[in-house]
Amino acid sequence: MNKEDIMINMSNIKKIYDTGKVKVEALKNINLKINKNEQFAIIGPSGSGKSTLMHIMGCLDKPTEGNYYLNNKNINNIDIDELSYIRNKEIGFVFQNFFLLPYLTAFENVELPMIFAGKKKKERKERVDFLLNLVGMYDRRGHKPNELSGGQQQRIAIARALANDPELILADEPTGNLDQKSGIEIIKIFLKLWEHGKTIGIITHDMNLANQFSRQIKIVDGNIVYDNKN
Amino acid sequence: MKNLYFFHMAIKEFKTHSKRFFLTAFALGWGTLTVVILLAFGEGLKTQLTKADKGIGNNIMVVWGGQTSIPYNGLPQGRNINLTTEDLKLIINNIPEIEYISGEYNSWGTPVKYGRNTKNILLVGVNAEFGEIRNQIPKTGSRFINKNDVIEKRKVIFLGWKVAERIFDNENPVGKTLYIKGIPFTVIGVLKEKLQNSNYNNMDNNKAYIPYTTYLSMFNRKYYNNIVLSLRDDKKSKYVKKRLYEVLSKKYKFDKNDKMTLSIWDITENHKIINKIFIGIQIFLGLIGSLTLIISGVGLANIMYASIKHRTRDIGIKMALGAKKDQILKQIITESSFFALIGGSIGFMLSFLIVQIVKNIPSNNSAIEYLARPQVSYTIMILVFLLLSTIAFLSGFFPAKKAISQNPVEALRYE
Repeated sequence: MNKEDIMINMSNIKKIYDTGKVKVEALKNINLKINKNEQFAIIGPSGSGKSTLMHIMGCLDKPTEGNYYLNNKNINNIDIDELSYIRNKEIGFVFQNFFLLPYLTAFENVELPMIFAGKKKKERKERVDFLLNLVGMYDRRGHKPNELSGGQQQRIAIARALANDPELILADEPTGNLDQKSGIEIIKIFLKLWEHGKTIGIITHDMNLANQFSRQIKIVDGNIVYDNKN
Repeated sequence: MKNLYFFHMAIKEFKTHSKRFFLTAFALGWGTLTVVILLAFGEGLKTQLTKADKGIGNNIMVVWGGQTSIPYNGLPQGRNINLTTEDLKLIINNIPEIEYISGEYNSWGTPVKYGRNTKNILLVGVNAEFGEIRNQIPKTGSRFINKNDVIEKRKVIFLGWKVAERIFDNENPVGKTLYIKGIPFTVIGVLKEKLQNSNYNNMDNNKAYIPYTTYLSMFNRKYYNNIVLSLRDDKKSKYVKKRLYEVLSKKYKFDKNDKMTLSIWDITENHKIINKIFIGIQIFLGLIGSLTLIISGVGLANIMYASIKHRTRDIGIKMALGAKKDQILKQIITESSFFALIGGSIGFMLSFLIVQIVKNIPSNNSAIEYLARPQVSYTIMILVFLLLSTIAFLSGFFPAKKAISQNPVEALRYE
């Protein structure tokens, strides 16, 4: 396999939370390679470290030890603003709680990452309209998050994750707060994005959902205990 | 263009968190208002008191003749000491610390005729220097008695404004002719309304003045009622008092230590006491002002701090989406400036409004004259505003700085 084809390359990743009184070893020794345009689901019990792993993958957090290469770039050695740049341009993150800004409309929420990227207004509008159409939310573009259902909010959040056209889309239990029907809809959108060439990773509790992804990685106690690719 | 975006975002957030916005602006406005108003009233009181205190004159003394209380060189006690025009020259020639001096002859209940009406007034004969000594500021378009009036015994009269009102109602008295003992007098001036918190005989507003030479040609008088003089330097008042006894004791042959021979009212002493009271008032107001400022500052800091804490998660979201540190800080700064601007403006406008309303309360008693004449000090206003907006800014800036220095994950966990 070519080096250029690897999206995520983690070796000996450790994450220790030090609260001062107790040290919690959230990730013990993670070695993981994920190719471009791969789809994967991370499963495991609560507190196993799967969210921590995904936060590190998404550059929202840094590992205590080990090396992480994202798109062949070493993440360990870069500063906070460069990390912001990577989150902005190369990664789209979807959260269980949607994390939309309550005072902005659907349109403005999707637009936000492009504003941080310094894109022009005309370009932003075209892209937001396109993305809202893609997730089927164009008609609701003027609504505030509290006027939308959970499933609708998550679609907005996905559109927002796609704003700067990142290669990697990560979702931390994106269906966790949704009813079954909405959950299935959301997973369908992710798989559609995979068909468009994105690398897709999700965390889920639901084995039925996990089984729709070609690769499943199970984490228990900070270690990978199952990976159907290896 | 980008700054416009931050402004736009700030307005969006105001709309959603209008209560918080209102509270912050209110705290800032209220703080500014209370301190500015408080100090405006203090400043006004001080100005009015100073004016009133100066009403009788600056650094002045009033001297009355008395009676000897001890025998001197074979002369008995109980002799009257009466002051004359000669004494005036004697005093001014021997005591260079005195700047101006004037005698006063009083005639109470002198009938003054204007047209068909006659009014009884307190008529006073004075030297030209009296105007300087006793702060007799004429209304515009009029003047006080001058040296030529005295030398030429001119038949001119200067009226206190209450006297002018009694005789002339709303007419302008200047240039009109009055009759005293059948002699025509031309009104040359009217005293500008003044505040006066001390007097002898009567308030200046209730008196009318003519040159003493003219007075002596009409009334048969040998002695002054009193002499009034002003000092070049108020620190010399004790020395001048001593010298007055020395100079006059030589002429009238009395013991210079016999205090009953002259009665001297040293008004410079009043000034010193009032100055001490001013310092007290200023310390008091400054203390209350500072305490008020601290209270509103603490309140403001609380609100700003809580509001930024409350938004830690929003900041986390923005960072997760790739906002850079300075992009987030810029928004916080835009917001704080906005708070400061609106809150401060409201505070200023209200203070102005209140000051204007209070100032326009018509004055019909002296309490209002002293207490209800607030003066806004712009220096204090700007200082208070700068201080409060700095507090608002810092109390917003530090939590925001903390929020952006942690990992987005930690900020996102904040509920």
